[in-house]
Amino acid sequence: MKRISALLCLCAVAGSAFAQTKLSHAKKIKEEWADFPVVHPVPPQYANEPAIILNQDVDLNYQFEGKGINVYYTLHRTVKVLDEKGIEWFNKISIPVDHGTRVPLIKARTILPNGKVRDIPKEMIKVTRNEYGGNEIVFAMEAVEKNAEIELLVKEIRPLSFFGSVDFQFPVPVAEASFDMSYPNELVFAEKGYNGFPDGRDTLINNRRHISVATTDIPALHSEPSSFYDVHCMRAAYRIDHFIDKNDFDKKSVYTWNDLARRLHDEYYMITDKERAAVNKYLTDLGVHANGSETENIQKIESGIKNNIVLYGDMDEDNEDNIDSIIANKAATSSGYIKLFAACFTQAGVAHELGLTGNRHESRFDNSFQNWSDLSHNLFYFPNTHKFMAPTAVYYRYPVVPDVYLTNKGVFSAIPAKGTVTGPLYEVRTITPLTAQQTQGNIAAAVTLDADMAAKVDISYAYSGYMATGLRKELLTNVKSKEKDIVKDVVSIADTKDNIVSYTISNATMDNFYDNKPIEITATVNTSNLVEKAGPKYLLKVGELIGTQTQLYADKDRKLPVDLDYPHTQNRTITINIPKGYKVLNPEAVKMHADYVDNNMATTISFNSDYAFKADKVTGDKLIVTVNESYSQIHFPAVDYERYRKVVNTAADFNKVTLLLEKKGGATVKETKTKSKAVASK
Amino acid sequence: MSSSKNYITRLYTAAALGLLAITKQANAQQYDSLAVKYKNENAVVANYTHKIVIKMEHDKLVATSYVDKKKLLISDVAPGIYNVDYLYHSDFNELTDLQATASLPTTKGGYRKVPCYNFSDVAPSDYVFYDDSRFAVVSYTGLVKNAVTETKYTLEHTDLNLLPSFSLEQNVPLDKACFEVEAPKYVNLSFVLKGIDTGIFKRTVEEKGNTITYRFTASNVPAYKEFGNVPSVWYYFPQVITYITSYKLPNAKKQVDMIANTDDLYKYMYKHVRNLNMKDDTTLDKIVATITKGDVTPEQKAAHIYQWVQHNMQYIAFEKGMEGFVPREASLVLSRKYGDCKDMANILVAMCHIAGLDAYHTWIGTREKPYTYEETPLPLVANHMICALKVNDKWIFMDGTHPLIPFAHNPEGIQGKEAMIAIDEKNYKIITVPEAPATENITYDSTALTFADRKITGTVKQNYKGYEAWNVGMMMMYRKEEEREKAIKALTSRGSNKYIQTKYDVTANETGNKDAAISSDFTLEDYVQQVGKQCFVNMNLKHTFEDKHINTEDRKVASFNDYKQNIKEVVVMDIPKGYKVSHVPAAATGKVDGLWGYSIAYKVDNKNHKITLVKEYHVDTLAVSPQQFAGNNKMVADLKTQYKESVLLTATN
Repeated sequence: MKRISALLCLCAVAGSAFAQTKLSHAKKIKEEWADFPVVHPVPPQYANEPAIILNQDVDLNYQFEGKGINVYYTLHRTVKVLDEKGIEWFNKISIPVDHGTRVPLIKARTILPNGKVRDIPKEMIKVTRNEYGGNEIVFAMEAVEKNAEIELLVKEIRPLSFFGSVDFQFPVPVAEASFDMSYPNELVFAEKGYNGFPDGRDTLINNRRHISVATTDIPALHSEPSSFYDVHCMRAAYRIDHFIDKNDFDKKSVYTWNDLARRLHDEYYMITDKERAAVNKYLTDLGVHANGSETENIQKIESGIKNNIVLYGDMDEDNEDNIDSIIANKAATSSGYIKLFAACFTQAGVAHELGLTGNRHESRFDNSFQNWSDLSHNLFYFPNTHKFMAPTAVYYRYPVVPDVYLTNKGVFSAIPAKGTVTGPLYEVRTITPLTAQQTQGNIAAAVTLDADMAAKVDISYAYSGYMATGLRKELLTNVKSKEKDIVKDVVSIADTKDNIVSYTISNATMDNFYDNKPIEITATVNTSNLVEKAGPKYLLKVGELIGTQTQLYADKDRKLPVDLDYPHTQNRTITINIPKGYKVLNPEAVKMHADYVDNNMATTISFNSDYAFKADKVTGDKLIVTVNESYSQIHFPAVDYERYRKVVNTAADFNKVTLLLEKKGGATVKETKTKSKAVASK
Repeated sequence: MSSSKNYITRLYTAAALGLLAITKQANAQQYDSLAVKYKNENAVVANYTHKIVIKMEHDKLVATSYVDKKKLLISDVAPGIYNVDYLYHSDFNELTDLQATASLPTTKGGYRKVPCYNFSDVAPSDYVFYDDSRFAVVSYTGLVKNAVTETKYTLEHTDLNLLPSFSLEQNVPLDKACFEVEAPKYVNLSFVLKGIDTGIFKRTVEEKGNTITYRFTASNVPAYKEFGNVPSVWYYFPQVITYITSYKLPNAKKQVDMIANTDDLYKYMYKHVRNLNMKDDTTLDKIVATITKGDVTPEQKAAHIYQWVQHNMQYIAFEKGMEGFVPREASLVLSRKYGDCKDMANILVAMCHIAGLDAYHTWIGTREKPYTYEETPLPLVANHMICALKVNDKWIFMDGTHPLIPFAHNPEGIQGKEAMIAIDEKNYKIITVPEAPATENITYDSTALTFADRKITGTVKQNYKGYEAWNVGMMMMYRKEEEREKAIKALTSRGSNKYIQTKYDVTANETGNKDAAISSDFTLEDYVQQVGKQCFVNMNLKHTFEDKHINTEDRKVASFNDYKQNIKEVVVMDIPKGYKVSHVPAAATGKVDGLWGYSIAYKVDNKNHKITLVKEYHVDTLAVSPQQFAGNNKMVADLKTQYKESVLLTATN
């Protein structure tokens, strides 16, 4: 059965996701569970918040047990809910439980403003599956009302992990936060706070080691357009620093980038002779020649694998990473896929390095804190071309990689696949994006107006580089009957699908990435949207032909830096066939210019629009409007926001450009068609 | 549920024991011709069969579904896209058997069959916080182009009144589908076809011995498309609804009556609410006494009770198994301060009873359900529960899940829907919840503006009554500060995205009809077009309903409105000093009877140097049928033409 209110449903979903986010990272205990909890006053500075997290305490306790180490995780959190939104956010708790984790204790209670306490009955704590198939513990808090406090204590026993990160900043403020670790004397951890969260120090107390960090008054952090929220949240990251043996003489770093490089090598490059033979045959089948062009070999290997070997999230094969069975069965998991790529490049003599990087929406690479948990995406780097390839991104082709990695750094193994190590084991490399010129989103349009001034537009949209990825995938993977819907999304000047008279699609297949041939949608559109009128005069809304532009008109105090998806340019040429007998009164209106100059006085982003008049006695006069935008810089500190905003808003201003068409030879306006009398204001 | 998990475990065990892939030549010809027929597609469901077998077992009638779906992967990318199958099951539809096989083409032109054991279970993502709905997930591996996946499974239907419907929705084209119900002759069945294009089903009946097979076949079914402006897919997916009306087992003396009509349905539903709230609850008594203190009329009492529930109860749905049908005791709901729709309805009923009011549990299908009790007298008609109140022979409905709507008004999602009111053991009423008339949903929107050069400065004032007002009220409840400002701007913004809100105010009444009012001061740069002495101002800053065009190319289902409404928009523009009015657009009206209409009129006030534009709209229906699309679209096109008309002012010197 259901609830009527759609808005509330949305709130509920958002709330549950929010609670979940908080809990998936988590925290520790001061006083674990008071017998008689006190009701806290609302700190006046937070009175207008929907809720305030009074305490968010996470504790990680490493214990030798049996042959290994278990991590005892404790989260203790108390939230005071201050309004309906706060109640919606926090009255449902979902705790995702990872594979291998046990949850020996969950306690939750509502502390009412009058001090009365409502515990969650055990039978109301349910275990379910989430939509991704993971286990989840869910329960609803009882008797929640405004100014009530929701207290939660969760204890988990997790499998050993030497790395991690715990978030401490959310869309509601946190009054007190603490992060504690304790672990046997033989282990030494390091902790680093990000975005203002304190750093901790390893301390030996009573033959156990500890890191203890606490802070107060963490403000709410809200997301902003074109910003990576998670990157800017306060968090505590931790990593194993080194092990100490019993005699305390063998201190050495472990889990460093060197070790990571070694791990990459061991995991993906150790193959049997049988596998090697299978790879050699496979390469022959793919037409790869050792003395062929390196770029062509990379392309043949990539398209051979990505077009024909299916990448699965999970497989039930025993020998799923065995290369000869991957080739035979045309099926692999991501590790098998990477292993096959590595073997192919090695056997084909393609110079390459396998590396790991992170999603820049989630965290920035930090070379000073060698935290493996931030690195979970594999890329290949090709030193001869200085380009990258994403092996498991099956709808991307070299050198286009998912834009979530761009400008982030990664650790790349420099261990030669064959032969001995001579230089450093790893290189830290920046995932350099393709240039702005290599990613283009262009429009060529010709506008023709009929006798009734209805517009027919012949328009072509062409996308290359990163801009081509989404559209290519959509067209490739959808059913044919949805093609026109996809086209309509691109052909934004068509106000309805019915207005698209005809269309063609070219260069949709994946191999077009290799010569960066743009995917093109060419359409003929009848649209009534472009021309407006005032008596005998016509207004052609030429600005709308470039599609709705992002705008940042509202003057807001920007807190977070701006991050764009990728460098790109957009070149549009709009040919207006001026109807016979008409002239354009204000062509100057299309002229616009804005740019952003960096500290080296180089223009890194810009917008320019201009026009040229072309007399043509045969086919009629033309006004040719060019609109060019370029964004080669994609990160802007908050202090430079205004300069960035100016360029973006200029593009958005172009959307409003309207050309006035009037009959040649003095269009005397026949004063008003209505009965109203013309009047001069005084 | 648990049995399905056990089954999955058993299958894993079988795999571990070394059940090997078998090689088998299959007739590949059929698939070759299908691959040609659907050569532009990535995949096609070659065959989809669903057979419900009804039979007697241990002197009991039982029903089991056998489902088999074969999918042919046609393109290179298909194995990467179509390697997962989802099958719905629940406590009432227990998954008891699941087999998955991939047939992989061999070099000799045949097929090699490989069993798949990769199963898992996920919960669907929806508004229910915790229930028994599950999807078993079959993950195929090792697929290649031209492979055929076959997922076969069995569902035991634990309640014969809840047999599953058969529908044709597939995310790829469906070449052949067959739905069969096989039952002994002594079982009486009913079938209802719903959705659009139900002519696609060919129906046959086959009698063999004591068994009758009812068969619905379909071929060449296109991949389903989702449409906007329709409450749910059930309005257009072709579907067969099946139910057993009665049966008489061979050795039984009496016929067993199932659900054949609304009386039977009521009997089935009533047992879920029969014994509720039998114990006195002094806490609830006290609350009712307090909140209705001084009230004289039943309406006053009920209104206070409704408001109290709206303010104090949170909507959270735990609906596992029978929890999906049986409301929780009012005392439990009260202490938890949360509940699902049934819990909210039940506490409303209990509180009204304490206050001496005639209140009843009431089942209703929201607008997501395109069914009526008469046509399909089945539990599937209803997905929601509310409380019905009888006052002076008038029915008033209270939906406890809406946190704000005023007493005696109905959420938009149950307008026009049938409510089944549980009067007592024997008696019920089916009453249609009225559709709120347009006169109750009023938007008045006025803009006063002046301009200088290309910039407009102005003020927007809006007054809302009805659903729009309550949406504003909800926004006030759940949004603060910046979010609230954004929400207000979304309502007031006009002209272009250069609309800058410099100041705003909002009032949402918390009593009475909960009307709302908004004001917003704004600037709008670059709106006025100027060339030489001429100024062009399009006073249509808002283009209300210009997006009402309905695509006719592939839509056969009606387009729905949320509610009927009247809108009046007034724009008053000052004529700047030194300008005369050279052109004002003509007045215009448009109307399609029973659908909607508009009127547009300009007026020049020379004396006060103002031009006024008055636009009025009325939406008179909740649904535009396909037969009305052309008329609707013509009116939208005409209206858009009006929106393109500017006022022309000319400088006098």
